[in-house]
Amino acid sequence: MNSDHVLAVRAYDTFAALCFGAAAAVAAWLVVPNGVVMPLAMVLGMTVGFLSAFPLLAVFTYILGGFEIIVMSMQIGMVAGMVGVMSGGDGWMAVATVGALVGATVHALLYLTDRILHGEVLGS
Amino acid sequence: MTDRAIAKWNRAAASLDAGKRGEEVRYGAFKRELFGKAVGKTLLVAAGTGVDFKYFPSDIELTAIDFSPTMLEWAEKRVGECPAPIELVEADVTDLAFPDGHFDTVVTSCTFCSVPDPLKGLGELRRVLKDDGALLMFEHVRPSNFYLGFMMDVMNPIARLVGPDINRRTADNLRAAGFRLTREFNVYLDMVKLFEAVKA
Repeated sequence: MNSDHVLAVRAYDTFAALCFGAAAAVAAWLVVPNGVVMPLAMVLGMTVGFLSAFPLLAVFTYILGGFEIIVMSMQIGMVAGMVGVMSGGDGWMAVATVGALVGATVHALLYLTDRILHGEVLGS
Repeated sequence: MTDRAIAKWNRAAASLDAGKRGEEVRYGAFKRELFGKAVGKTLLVAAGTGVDFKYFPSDIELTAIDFSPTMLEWAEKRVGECPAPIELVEADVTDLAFPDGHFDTVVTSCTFCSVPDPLKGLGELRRVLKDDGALLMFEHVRPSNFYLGFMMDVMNPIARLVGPDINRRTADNLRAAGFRLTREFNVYLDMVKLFEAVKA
């Protein structure tokens, strides 16, 4: 990839992370009923968030897929789903914003981990 | 190879290129660098729809195999993209008809995530590879990170219904099959890797 392609792919991945996070948080917020004890709500939120990532995963994979998209969809879906049910009932826009922030954070952590691991392990 | 596995990859052929488009953009340069090292008689295992043909150098004789006849029909359309002369053969990597020590180079590209018995397949590759030959692999494997590895283990039963296994320990399998790793390169996390190996 040339530098233009690298930037375009990074922008695409970041956009995907924001979408995964927002969608997972809103889905969990909508599906998990109020009043469920918090530990159970968190587990349900993770599950709903994880499952809600699949349709988006199919779309983002079709456009410009890769293992980066697969891994982030799983991780962001779970964390954003959990955070979605914890963030209360301030409206779907607020929940989506929190989810998108979670998506951006998880994406950044995965990116940093990749930069640490990337390269020669053995040989040259 | 089971009829079920062949049927699964026959079905997957039509949609494989859609998922590969992003992978070509992301990983194409790594494949070009690795597959450019092929010399002499070269075996490409699991040619799929032929998206990797363009990465090979022109001065080799390429034999591309796949156990899925539908994949080979798609690959036929891409023969012109290969700079080298190429022969497509329907064959199962766990039961190759080639003689011992027939190839100078063996290349795999996201192959050993799909072979039901990877040790048997790698054993066959070792058999058909010359003693001074090289095995070049672009593969995705189980990440060493505990959490990500666990996630791949959990997801694997779902993933293998429609596609490949996502938790293969290919480096360990290579050693168990009698290869010695000469190079290991992390492309994405420690999940997408380049391997270069020779007979141990």
